[in-house]
Amino acid sequence: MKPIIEIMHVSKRYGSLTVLEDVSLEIYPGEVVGLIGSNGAGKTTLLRILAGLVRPSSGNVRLGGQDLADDWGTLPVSLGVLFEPPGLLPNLTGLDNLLTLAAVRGQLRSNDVQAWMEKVGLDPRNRQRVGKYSQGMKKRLGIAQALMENPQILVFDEPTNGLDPEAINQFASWLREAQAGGAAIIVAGHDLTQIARVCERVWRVERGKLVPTTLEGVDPATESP
Amino acid sequence: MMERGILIAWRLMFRGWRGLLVIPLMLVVGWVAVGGLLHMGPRYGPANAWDALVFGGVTAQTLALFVAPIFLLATHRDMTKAWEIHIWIHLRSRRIWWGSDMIALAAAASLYALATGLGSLGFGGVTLPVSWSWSALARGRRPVGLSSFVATPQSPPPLVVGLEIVALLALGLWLLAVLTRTLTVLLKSPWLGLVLTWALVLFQYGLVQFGALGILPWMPGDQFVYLMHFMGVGPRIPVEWSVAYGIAWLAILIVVGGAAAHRDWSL
Repeated sequence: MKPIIEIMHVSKRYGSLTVLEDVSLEIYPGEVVGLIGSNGAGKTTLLRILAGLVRPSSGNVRLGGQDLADDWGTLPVSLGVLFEPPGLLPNLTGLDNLLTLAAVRGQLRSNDVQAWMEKVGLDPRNRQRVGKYSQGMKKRLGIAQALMENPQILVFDEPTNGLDPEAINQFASWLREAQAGGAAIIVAGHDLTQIARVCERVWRVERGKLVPTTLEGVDPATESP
Repeated sequence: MMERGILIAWRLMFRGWRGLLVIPLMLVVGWVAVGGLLHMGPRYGPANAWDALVFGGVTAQTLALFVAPIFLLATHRDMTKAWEIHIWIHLRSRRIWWGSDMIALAAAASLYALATGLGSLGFGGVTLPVSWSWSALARGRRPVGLSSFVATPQSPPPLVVGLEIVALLALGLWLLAVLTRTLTVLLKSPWLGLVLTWALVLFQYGLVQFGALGILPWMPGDQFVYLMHFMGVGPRIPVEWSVAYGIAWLAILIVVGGAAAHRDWSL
């Protein structure tokens, strides 16, 4: 099996500040990888590079075997992302947010979108605008928009911030479903203890470098198949 | 994917109350158009509905004070929002994301130019006689000062001139909207692009009103008003010049803005 994500010797510098240094990582379809680290360690930068938001200063990123630098701004595979903040339209309802995004690809019908809202614990009939949502509700909606079209790659940055313990457990089960569907998943956070159970490998990001690590109750990081 | 991008861009532009702004624009422009004619009419002869469009609706004044700001506000889309990341990730291409917005803006500019024309014509049709020919007012005016279009037997019929007025205005509005978007992504500011673009239109309008006619061919704004190509004083700018000017700047801005849209994206 070929990796769907290949991060090869990636570095990122902002002026004299080195955020990432010679990072390499391969992720296979159906694999869940965790990234942990403190603020400013470089987790979010790595995820942004992976999603094509930020260019690496050196090194390459391949998605589905295609180098992002070959056609910068074009994604060769389908992605679902959740960053912090989730990036939702505050003046629309939760359902209208999802329907607007679903209309871009046109794969989902209204019923499918409503089902996703219910799945993440939100009421699709709620006419409240997203700007009035609690942090946890926004996060649930953000998770739904990332998952709803079964993308080939899922990128989650701090997905459990603002979620209650029950929702964190649910999130782990949604990840398992996406994993079973063949998605390659990368999850970053300060404390992934509760969802690390679904991660095959966990890496600590320290001063811009990736260090294989273990978490309590989690198997040691192993090499990719 | 391009057609879906255009559809989404259209929805994002005109969602909520901003989608209704075209109605007050039609009312205001129509009102101003007919008011101007009633003021001008007695000096030159009876007007008809076409005069409301040709002489009253699409003028340097209505463009600078009503059409441009309302159009820019209605089509405002903050391309720097984190939300936009989801749009282009779903489209899987920043090029399509940017290009589809440019096409949606062209459609919106055409709609607003048409609405401006129809608002003038509608008010004219209600308050003045309706005819397919030029009025005594249009034939009897004398070329005095700015906006001195006079209908002669060689002039195209009013319907053709009306279509030219609307098409030139649409090109001008498209250019202003693309300038706004490009400034937005270049400056990474949600509203600065809109404010700067309108300020530019007001600035050139003010300069022309104070007699600096030499800048007319070189700035966006008045040169997309058909009447400004028939001035009694100052340089006469061919309509073809303004069309070429608009297309050239559109090409430059679309390329520059597209390049800026491919820069690193901070949340």
